[in-house]
Amino acid sequence: MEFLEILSNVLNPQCILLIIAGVIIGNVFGCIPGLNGPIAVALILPITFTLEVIPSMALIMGIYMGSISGGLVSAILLKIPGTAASVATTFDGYPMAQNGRATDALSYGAFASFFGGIFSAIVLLLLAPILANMAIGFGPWEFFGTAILALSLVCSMMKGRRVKAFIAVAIGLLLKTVGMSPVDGVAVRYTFGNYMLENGFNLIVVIIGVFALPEIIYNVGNIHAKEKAAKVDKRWIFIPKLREIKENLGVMLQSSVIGTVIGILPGMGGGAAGLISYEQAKRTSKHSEKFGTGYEPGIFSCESANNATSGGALVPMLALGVPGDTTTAIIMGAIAMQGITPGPLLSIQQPEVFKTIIFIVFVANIVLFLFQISTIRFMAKIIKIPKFLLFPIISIFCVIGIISIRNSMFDLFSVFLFIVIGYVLDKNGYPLSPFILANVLGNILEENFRRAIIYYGNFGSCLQQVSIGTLFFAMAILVPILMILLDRRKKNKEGQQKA
Amino acid sequence: MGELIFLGILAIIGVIMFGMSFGFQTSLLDKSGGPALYPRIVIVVLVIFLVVRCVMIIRSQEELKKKFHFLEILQGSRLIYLLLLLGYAVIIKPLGFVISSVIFAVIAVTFLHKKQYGTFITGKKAAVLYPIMILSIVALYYVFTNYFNVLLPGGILDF
Repeated sequence: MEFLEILSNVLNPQCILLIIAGVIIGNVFGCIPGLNGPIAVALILPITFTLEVIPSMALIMGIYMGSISGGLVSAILLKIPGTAASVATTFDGYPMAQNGRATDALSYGAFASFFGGIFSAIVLLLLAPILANMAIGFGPWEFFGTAILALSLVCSMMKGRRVKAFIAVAIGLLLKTVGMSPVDGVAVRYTFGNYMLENGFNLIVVIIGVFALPEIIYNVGNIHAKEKAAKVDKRWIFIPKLREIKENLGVMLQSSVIGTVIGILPGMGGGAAGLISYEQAKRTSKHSEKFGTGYEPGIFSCESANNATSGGALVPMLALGVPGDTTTAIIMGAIAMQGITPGPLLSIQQPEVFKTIIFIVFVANIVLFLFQISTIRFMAKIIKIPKFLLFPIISIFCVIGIISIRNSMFDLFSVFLFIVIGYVLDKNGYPLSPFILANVLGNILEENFRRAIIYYGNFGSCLQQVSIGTLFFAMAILVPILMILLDRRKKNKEGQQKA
Repeated sequence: MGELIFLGILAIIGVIMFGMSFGFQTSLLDKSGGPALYPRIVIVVLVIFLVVRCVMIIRSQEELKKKFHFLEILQGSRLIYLLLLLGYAVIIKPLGFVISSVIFAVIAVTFLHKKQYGTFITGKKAAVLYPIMILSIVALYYVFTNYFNVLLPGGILDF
């Protein structure tokens, strides 16, 4: 009965159309270099306000799945990854396209994306309810521990820029303290008497200001660059041969496992998944020398891995209320705006929403596959849209997105503050995903921190609790220290070997 | 050097915010440590990492020589585009979404076309492109206000 209800929730014309629309929008944003999934989701948020929860999730999940996979088009045809997730796709995709096999490369990428997406959706289906059930007994201390561990892991994974990541997190958390203090509801902090700031900076303003507009402004400086794309055959269906699928099944499976696990860990995302699985596929291959020359397993590995991160990243978001990557952080914000709090309680209070979202992920992956195998040759044309048209259009959508929140000119002007913050952080190597994650988790962190103090009396008593919250808090401190020590050891070893 | 200045500015902002936290109103019933506790912890953590980063920069010649990216946003075409966006934000309320967006789009597209191809949009291309742009903006306004219930500024046209 419940399954039938979920089916009717998703398999109705409105939902299917929204998934298709989402997949198309996501694919377009994914395949155009400079645009990406978080920008697409942020720009579409105003439209989701007018929709019910399930249809809005259909649209957003479609965009999420579509944007990760869309990056393969420009990665293969231009050697410019449309998104960070497709960096590794350029290694073999572009040489294959240069050898006159662009169509094959695109069809391999589309199939691998589908395989990785479905694999991670199965993991999501199996793992999220178990994790959510485990987390049902969580109190404020446990939620605080989970949130702080997520932030710490995000920073710890940023090899070579850990300190910068922690600074970005702290800036994000500090910005989130602007406005009415949670728990007591008495103090108004850092508003300088401006009532517009009493609710703090809106997440959409922050995302558009930090992600979308600085990227456009930066690219305006490089607009004269001209790209020449490889040619794609005029076929109607792009699908690899059964023999090719069979030969690469092992690689896809291995990469999908890597991608899903990386997706579950906060902060690493599709880019790292693609690179790690590519290296793993190369290491375990009998023909490792062929990698980088247009070798099929190279494309199958990174494309299945980067799409597998999508389902993985949704596991902690749905089960624990902790997003696994930047896009899921924005999605979490979107769900919150619908009056629903992702996390363990979602599976108890609204199990149909919880399960329907998981089912949408399956449907979105199928729609994405059907869309990609039938339209890749048209997508190849989209990357040729002139930038002089594209940038003003996106800027106008950004303005609509900001105004739609509460019709506030203050929001429109405050976005310039975030343009500067986003530009300075991003262009100087300070990662943006920890900053956004801090903005999403800031309230959860403070609220649960203060509630835990009320519950246990003081912070020292919290630390004395034999609880998963204490374990997570300890891990949040120890993991980055261990990572730094391991890196130093590795560096010293390398130095000694060189000497 | 630029990054050191940036970190210094962050530290100063942190110190000011720390000082401001002493002025927060506190409820007598609040047993959660008060509204100032959490921001203070965040500021202390921020300052610790700022100091660590400063030490890392000072100890490395390579880091010291690295260019800090900020001023280029205030130069050349990026500055012009930023000013265009700012102008758009200023006129959108009094002139309304349609007129201000048309003004912004026409100027931005003309400017970026010149930047990308070295020429202005003229002749047949202009005769097609600009009317389509204007119609698209009107359509956008119509769709968002009527179908998505988004309140976009009506301005002087007030429709």
